[in-house]
Amino acid sequence: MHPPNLKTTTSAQISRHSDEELVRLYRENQDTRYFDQLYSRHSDKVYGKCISILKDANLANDALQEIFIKILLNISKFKEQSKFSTWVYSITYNFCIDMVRRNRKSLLIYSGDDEAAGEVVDEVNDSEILETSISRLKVILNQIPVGDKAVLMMKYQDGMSIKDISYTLTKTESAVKMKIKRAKQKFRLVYSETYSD
Amino acid sequence: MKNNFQQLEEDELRQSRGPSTEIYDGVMGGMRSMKFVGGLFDHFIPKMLRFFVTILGGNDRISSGTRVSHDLSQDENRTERHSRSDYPNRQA
Repeated sequence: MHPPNLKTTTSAQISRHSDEELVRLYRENQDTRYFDQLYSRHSDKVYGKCISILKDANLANDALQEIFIKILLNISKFKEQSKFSTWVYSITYNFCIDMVRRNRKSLLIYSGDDEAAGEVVDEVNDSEILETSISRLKVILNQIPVGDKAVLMMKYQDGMSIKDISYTLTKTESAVKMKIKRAKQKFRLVYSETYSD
Repeated sequence: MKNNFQQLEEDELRQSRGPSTEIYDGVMGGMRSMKFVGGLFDHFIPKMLRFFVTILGGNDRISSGTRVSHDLSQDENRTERHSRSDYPNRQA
């Protein structure tokens, strides 16, 4: 009879932990297998966001590496105030927006400013955006400013709350509501300019 | 059920070849380099500071400590005096 493969057993045990538990275990033991697990869980999604914003596979690979180094360096600062994935995505969005800004690929990051006078009234329904076909959605998202795209991705793709988005962008909740409102207006405008039906 | 944004994300991931397999090695390599540079700083910065303090005429506590410990083996009476004055927390 063969002895049990301890390494396989341990890997299986590691994969059963939640993200937050893996972070805690990594901090306590500095065992890279815990980080390895976090990497394999989130790298594809982070890469997807990078390629969606940066639109270049080489840049996305560079960004992915930098983002995970950043995550490793700052993992002690993760205070579990949000889900680990939200924290990871907030680093991802900020890194990618900064990268676009640095490379001057887009002069306009967000449409309009964040100034919110009183209550922000959203004129564009969520359903209007969520009922757009995938092919059209792809076209429109590639035409609107990158910051607007990121805000819409945070809201509709990642299901982030206003509080989570405000934490990600380090803006007040009313400023975030204004950003979302402007991004949706921009989406509607570009949609009507691109498709006449 | 996934909405159109989430389906688009899946489609884009399927169409791209995914992240390079070398990225993880790059992350770990980057961390090792940073730890190495950090270790060098940890090792050399205190020594450099001590060097400058000595050059500027300051008192280097570590070298004086070494001298005290040498003296300890020479003279028991002086050991008592040093241990009280220089190391107040030391047990007699």
